[in-house]
Amino acid sequence: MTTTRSACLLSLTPLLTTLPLLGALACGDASGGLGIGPPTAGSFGNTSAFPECGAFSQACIQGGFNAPLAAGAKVGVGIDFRTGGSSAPEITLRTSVPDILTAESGVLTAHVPGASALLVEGPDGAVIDFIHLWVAQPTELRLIRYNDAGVALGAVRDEATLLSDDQILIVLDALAGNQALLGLFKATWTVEILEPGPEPDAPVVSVVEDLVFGWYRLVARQPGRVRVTVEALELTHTLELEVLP
Amino acid sequence: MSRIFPPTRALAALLPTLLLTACPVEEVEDRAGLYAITAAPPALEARVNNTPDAVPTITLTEGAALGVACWSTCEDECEGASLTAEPEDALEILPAYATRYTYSDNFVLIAKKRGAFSLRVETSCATTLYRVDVPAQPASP
Repeated sequence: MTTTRSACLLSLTPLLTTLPLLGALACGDASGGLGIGPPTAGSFGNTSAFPECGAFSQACIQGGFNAPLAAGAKVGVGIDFRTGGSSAPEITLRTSVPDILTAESGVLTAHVPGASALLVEGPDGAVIDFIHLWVAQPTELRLIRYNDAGVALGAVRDEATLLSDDQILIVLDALAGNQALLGLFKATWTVEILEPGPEPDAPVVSVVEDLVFGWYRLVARQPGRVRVTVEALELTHTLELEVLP
Repeated sequence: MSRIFPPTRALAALLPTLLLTACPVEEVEDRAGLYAITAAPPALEARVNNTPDAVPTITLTEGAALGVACWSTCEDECEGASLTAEPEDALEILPAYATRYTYSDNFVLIAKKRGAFSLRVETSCATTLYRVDVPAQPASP
């Protein structure tokens, strides 16, 4: 028996587009106050840019824009003004190389590897500030387990054992080499039953998309053995789980 | 009390004039140019080279942005300075709001395509032609 669950993160794009306006409030509500990465100063020092992570992505939360974006991923960007004597004017974000990176309604979309400047333009078209951002091709997907308090516990092993009724909170991270990349992306989960449980028609393990962007819960329903496959960013990651009574 | 004889006094009065006329008057050509006000990001190039007696050069990796400020010997400094890329689509030239450099006209240059181009900097008293080298971005590891 095969269960397919498509978790389309892009469906939350309308939410992300509002984040630059809502700022910390929206992100704080979305992920317990940990949804924003630390800021990166612009070249002119007029502004700082920070990624709106929306999940416990290790690269985002710990490093802000101190990592490349994963090709194929999206990330919201907030701008923090540091210009004395003026509030922030109405701004426009755009990139220098749209083939590599685009900015639309406060959301960055990474297309192919390379570097692009992100320009913050004022109402008169003058560049208020800019930062260079990198896009990298992910080479690995990694599942990171968190506890309910949002503390990272470590990478999920490829073969693991659960107890029936366990619920494991995980985040799917993209990496290039061993460098965790930024961005939220569409993921498709497949659960293949290798050894059915006492109720053959019922799932052994379910993958449930959390209310928070980028989080998933592995739920052990009944004893048995399954192979869980996740596909994203043209990569595949597989793990085998045994559920004990 | 000391006394200064009239001829000596007259000579002392004339001395500054004599010294000035002894110095050759050199006409200095007005100059204008750019200097970088932002740093290059890792692995990319973004710099201005104004080495004397050499062709002034800007090196800017394709897709990179560089903040520059104008300087000149004109009385009005860089007021109304204009930057023109040749060909025009080689560089994107944008006005910049760089609060740390408010005494000068500031710009952001973005390299739009690879190759060797030129950038003309015109102020009220001088014009400088920069050679612009635009290398490709480094390949992904």
